[in-house]
Amino acid sequence: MKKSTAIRLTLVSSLALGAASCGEDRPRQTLRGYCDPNNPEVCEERPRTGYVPMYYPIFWGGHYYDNRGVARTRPGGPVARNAPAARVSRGGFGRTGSGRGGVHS
Amino acid sequence: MQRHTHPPRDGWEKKVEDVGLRHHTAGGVPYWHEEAHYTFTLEQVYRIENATRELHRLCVEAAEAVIREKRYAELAIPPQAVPLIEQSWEADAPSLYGRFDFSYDGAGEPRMLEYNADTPTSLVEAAVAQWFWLEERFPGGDQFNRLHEALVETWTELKPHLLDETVHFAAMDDVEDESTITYLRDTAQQAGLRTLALRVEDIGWDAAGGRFVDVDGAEIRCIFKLYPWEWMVHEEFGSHLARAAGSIQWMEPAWKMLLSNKGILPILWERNPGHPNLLPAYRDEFMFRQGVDAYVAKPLLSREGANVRIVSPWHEPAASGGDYGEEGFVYQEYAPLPEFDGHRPVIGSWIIGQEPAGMGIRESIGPITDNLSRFVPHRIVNPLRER
Repeated sequence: MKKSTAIRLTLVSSLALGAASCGEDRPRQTLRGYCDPNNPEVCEERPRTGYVPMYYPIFWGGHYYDNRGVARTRPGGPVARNAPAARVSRGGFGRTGSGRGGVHS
Repeated sequence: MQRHTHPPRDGWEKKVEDVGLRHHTAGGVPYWHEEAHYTFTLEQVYRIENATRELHRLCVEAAEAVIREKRYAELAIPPQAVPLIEQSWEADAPSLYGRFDFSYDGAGEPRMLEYNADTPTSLVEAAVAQWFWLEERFPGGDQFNRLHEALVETWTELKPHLLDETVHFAAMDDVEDESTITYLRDTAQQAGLRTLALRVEDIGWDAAGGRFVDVDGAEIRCIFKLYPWEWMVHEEFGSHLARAAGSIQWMEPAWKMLLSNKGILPILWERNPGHPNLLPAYRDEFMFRQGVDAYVAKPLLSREGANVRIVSPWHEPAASGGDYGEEGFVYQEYAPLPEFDGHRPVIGSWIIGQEPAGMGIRESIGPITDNLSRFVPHRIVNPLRER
C-alpha cells in the first residue's frame, strides 16, 4: 500500500529537536531579531542565529514567536512602530474554541 | 482483522515526540497506545479504501444537491454562511483532506458513522508515528498509509491554484492542534510553498482594506485554519467573511461544513437508500420503531462523540455528556463497533485531495468513541509485493 518508505520531516524535526535540546519547547533559532520583553521598545534588527534563550519571547516586526514557534501579536497591545496595525482588530475568531482546548475531531 | 498485544518500544515517548507527536499522553494516560496493534488482510484494506473513495464521491454529490436544492435549513446552516458555501463551491476552492469514521469488523462492509470533512485531527499519528512504529517493529512490513506522500502531492497540485505561495496556518493554543498544523506546514513546504503559523485569535481584520491580515499586518490570501466553520460564522469576524470572499482562500473551504454536519447523513441515505456503506439515517426519530430498532441520536454539530445517545432494546442505554445539540439531532441506525478483548476500534479512513490515502484506528472501552479514545497502530499481514 505504501508507495514510498521514506518520510522526510524538516519543520517537524527542527521543532522536535529544539524541544528536546532544552527539555521544553523552544522557537526555532534562526530569527531575524528580538526584543527584551522587559523593554520591548528596544528591538534588535540584525540577523540573529544561534541559541535563543527559552525565557525570551522572540519579537520580530511587531510580533514574536512564542515558545512553540508560532507567531503571536505582542501581548499588551499594538506595536508602536507597526502603525498600520492600529486599524486592525483582532480576536474576532477563536472565542468558541477558547474554552474547549482544541478542535479534537 | 485482529488485535495483538505486546510491550511497547523502549523510549516510545521520545520516539513519537521526535516525529511530531507531542500529544502522546493525556492526563497521564497514553493516547498513543503501542502496547497493541491491529492487523488487516490486503482484501480488508481494499474494502476500506474502496468504501472511502465511494463515500467521498457520494458526499460531494450530496453537497452539490444541498446547494442546488437549498436544503440548508435541514443542516441548521445559518443564513450568513450560505453565500460563503456557494461562493467556495462555485470557485472550486482548494480542499486538502477529510477523514471518514467507519464501523468495521473485518467482515462485510465498512459502515460510515460520520465524515470529519472540515477539521479532522489524529493526522500526525496516522501519517507519521504509526509508519515509523511499523518500520521499527516490523521492518519491511506494510500499512494502509501513504498519507505523507499524498499530502505533499496534493499541495503540489494545489499550488498553481492558490492565490499566494505563502500559506498561513491557524490553530488554537492546543498541543494537538499545533502538532497537526506543524506537520501540515511541513508537507506544504516540501511542496515548495512558504508557510506561516499563527493563532486563530491573532487573525486580524483590516476594516479599511476589507481584508484579513496576519500578525505583521500582511494580507492573508490563503489560509489553512484548524477551526470549524460552524464556529467561525457565528463569531465576531464571521460578518466579515462575505466581504473578503474572493480575495482569500480558506482551507478547508466553506462548503465542507455541509459534510462535517451530521445533517448530511439523512440526505446521503435518502439519495442512496440501501447503500452497503451507509447506515439508515433520518431527521425524524420515529422513523425507527421504538422498542424494536437500535439507533443513535447525534447532534448536528457535535465533536468527540459529545451528546450522543444510543437507543437500543438489547443494550443498556448509553449517552455521552457535552454542550452540543441545540441545533438539532439526526438519528442513525446503530452499528455497534466490533469488540476485541473489550476494546472497540473505529476506523478513521483518510481522503487526501480526492483520493483515499490511509487509515488510523482509535479504540475505546465504551460504545461511544470519545475524547478518551486511544490511537493504536496497524499493519497489513501478507501484503502483495508491489510491482
